[in-house]
Amino acid sequence: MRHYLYIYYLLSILSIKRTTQGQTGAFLFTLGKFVRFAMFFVFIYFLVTQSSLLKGYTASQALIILMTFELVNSVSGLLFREVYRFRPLVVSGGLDGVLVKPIHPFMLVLLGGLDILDAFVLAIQVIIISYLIIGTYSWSGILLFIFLFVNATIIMAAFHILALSIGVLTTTVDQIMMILRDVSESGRFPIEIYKQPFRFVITFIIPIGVMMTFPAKGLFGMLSIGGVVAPFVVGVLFLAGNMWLWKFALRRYQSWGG
Amino acid sequence: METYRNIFSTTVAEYAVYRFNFLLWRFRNVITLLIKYYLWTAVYGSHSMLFGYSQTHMLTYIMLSTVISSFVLATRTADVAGEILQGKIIDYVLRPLDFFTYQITRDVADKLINISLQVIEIAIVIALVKPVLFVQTNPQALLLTFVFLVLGTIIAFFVNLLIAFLGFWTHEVWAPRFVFTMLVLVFSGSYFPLDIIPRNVYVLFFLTPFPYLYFIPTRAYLGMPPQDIAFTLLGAVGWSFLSFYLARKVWQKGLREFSFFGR
Repeated sequence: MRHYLYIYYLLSILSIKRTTQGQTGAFLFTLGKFVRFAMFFVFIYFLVTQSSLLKGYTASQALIILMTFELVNSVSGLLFREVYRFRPLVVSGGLDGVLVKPIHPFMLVLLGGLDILDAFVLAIQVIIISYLIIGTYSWSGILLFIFLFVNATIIMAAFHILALSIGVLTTTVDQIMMILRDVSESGRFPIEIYKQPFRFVITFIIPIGVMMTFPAKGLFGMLSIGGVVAPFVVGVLFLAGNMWLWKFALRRYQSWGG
Repeated sequence: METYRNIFSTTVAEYAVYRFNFLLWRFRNVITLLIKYYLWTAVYGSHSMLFGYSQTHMLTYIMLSTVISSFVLATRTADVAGEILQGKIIDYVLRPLDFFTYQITRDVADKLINISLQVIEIAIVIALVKPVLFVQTNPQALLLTFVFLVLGTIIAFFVNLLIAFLGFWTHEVWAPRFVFTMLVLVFSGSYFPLDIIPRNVYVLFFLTPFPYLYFIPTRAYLGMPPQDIAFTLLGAVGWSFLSFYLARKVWQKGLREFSFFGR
């Protein structure tokens, strides 16, 4: 374990150095992320307060759901950025070099590219959500929110493993990630606002609701015992299913490039 | 002419190389349209009118602007930055073809593929969710939509080239493109029609090229207030000429200052 932590530390340091090498680029990327976050924050606050999107939630609760979405996305961007660089690795045959290394390939292709630029936006988001929840909600609610948030991050990791597996099988990664991002956009709002069959899809097929809405619901005390347990079961099953898919994909890997 | 016909068919053929990737790209467009449809249906709920738009007009705006945006912004010019950095741009300069016509030919092929498939995708979405959409029958509004669509496409093409030409002077070409994409997201009306924001802020947006990309063509389809037609037309024509002029100038300056080792 210590060995892996040390490798992760080294990879992260290298990634940070690589990212901050071009200072103008790093500044512009961070600026772009802030612009996007600010735009959605203002737009969604405007929408939920002016329309019928609340569905029983207060404006503050709707903002917490939005912030949960933003936090899950930022943490996912921070930890799993390397997945976006996976396709060239498969197409060029460079994945062979990853697979023969004496460490788990996820260290390199999933976790190997810590994106420090997401950390700046994440810091702002943590401050905003802390302001929204501390003092307003009970500590047990906040603790449940944190656990469900960690579970959401695990589901996100599983999604990225799914993209990697499809990448190995078909050399397609980017479009899978883009589809995931597009569908997860719906998690900016409480899933109750959506009509069937879309709500069914984002609850059971692609568990956006479990990732984005459930942590906030746990915080608000809106979950039954079953509602608390179900997200963790979904998380474990989703991760196990995608780990199996990764092994299946590796068995069929033919080294496309080279 | 034969050369450009070959470039056209090669660009089309390139899409067939990674077919699954291509299919997913198109599937993604259907998903995007469906998500926006479900979101805005939820926003309206029991309201018949919000932000000065009826539900029918808003859904038409959201769907049509998504289609127009994928047409206007579809471009192969993003590759140019990488080609400058890798020195491949020399190949184009040495060949007996005009670089701008070459890029236009590739973009035309790209856009034709986009629009052909968009028709099918829209048909799928309409068949799936049966949205009530506004159908414009006024020939003047349709003509205006077409004119703005052409102008928006011209602006997008030359602005995209300008961003790619940054590669002549810096290695950091992806960050400006990312910022451009974010600005397009905010100022082009991706998520909502720009005219729902206060009028004095709304008018300021027209000093930038962004609203002309797909907000204005979509607004023209829905019926533009007569007092807005003249200045938006002037703005779109102005930005078309300015972006063309700047792209030419920057290209010439870039070529004069360009140097590369190893090829």
